[in-house]
Amino acid sequence: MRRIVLGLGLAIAATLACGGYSDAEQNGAAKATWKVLPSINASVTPNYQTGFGPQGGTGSGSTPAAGSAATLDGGYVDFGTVVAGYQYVYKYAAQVKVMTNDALGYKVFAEGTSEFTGTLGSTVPMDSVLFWMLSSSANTQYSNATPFYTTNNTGDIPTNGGNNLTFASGPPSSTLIYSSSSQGTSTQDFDYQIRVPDTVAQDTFTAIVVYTAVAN
Amino acid sequence: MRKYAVATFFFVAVALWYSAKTVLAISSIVTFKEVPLTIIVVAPSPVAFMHLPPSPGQSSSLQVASISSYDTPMGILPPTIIAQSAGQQGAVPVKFLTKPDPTSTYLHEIPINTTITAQQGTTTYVTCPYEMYAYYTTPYNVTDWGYGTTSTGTTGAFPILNYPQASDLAFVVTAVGVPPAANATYTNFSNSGSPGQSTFTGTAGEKQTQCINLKLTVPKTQAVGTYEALIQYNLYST
Repeated sequence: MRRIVLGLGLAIAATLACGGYSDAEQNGAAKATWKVLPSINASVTPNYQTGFGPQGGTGSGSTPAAGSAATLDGGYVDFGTVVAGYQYVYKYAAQVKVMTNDALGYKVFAEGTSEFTGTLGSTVPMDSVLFWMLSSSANTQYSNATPFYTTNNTGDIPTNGGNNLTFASGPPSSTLIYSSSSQGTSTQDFDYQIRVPDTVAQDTFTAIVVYTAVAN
Repeated sequence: MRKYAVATFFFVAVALWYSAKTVLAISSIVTFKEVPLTIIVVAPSPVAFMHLPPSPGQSSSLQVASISSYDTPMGILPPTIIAQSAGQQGAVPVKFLTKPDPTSTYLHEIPINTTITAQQGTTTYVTCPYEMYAYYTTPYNVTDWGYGTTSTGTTGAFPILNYPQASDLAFVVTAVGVPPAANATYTNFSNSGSPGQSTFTGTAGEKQTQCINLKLTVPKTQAVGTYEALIQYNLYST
């Protein structure tokens, strides 16, 4: 971009210099300006640390364990088998890394692409089931946590990490999960929490949470 | 003399047997459930405020601050969110497999509105934020205590606290749809761990759903914030 602008500047200068209004020597100046657009790069890593997986379900009679779709540094945040009516915390669920040259920093939003959908077709509202917390060893299945909401930009968000997303009016502020007021590279870790409804059907449910980093 | 000794021994043995039998009966727990409550403590609202007339020579109108947020050198375009060329997004797929609670037939919570907002220095009454269902084939006793509480003398966390301090959260049980009477007696939640206290009882085969009505007392000095209260309900076969 900078090369193009500089090139244009030189071309204009050359035009001014060579454009003949008369045979007399012509002098002129061209002011070349450019701006560096803020750039931002973000990546999200599920199960980013050894020891990831669910805890909780106290009193349910079963011991929680991560499902087979969860792998270190990837895969699903797979709570495995959970019991209706119980709550679980999922340790080391996701790590967000952001790098930006914007001196004003950035914001990170997170939204579900849809409600949780079961293989048998039933759905469970995401904002009543899945919650997030900044990662902490003190987090439990009962800790205060913030719900994930499904996106208002239905159809815009590609599944599983597409790029070049343009929001009509920006992600809603309710989906802001953290922000920074400085440039550079930073990481933020998250634990998830699930609150399984009493009345949920017996099924396997899936959903996708998309993280979007935006320069300030 | 020997007769007396034998009789005493026999009496003590019977007493020990009966005592052990009673303990076993009490400790015959069927299941337990944990009920989380969210407590949001807010600062008191101002009761009223007075609009003072402006001083002589002073304008009474407030000027709205003008804030410009243009971030381009030219100052032409309003700020917009620009799709980045790469790496702007990432996604986390989430999955879980549900199975029914095998013991919910005997005991479970029916949440209604378990988030309570209360002001500092006030007492808040909440009618039936949740219900408890219980059933068992034998006579039973549902007990409660604050999860994680002890009688070791440590302060404990608001609002349940720890024994010997009285919990700031109390309850009274009523039938579903029946609000507590104005003079109802609320019982502080037990906060010294097991064995807790009886919440309600049932006869063999009795299925019942009871409203748990709450009274929350927030000290004036309690910091504004969000707190968790966790009540453990236990179903004992008696």
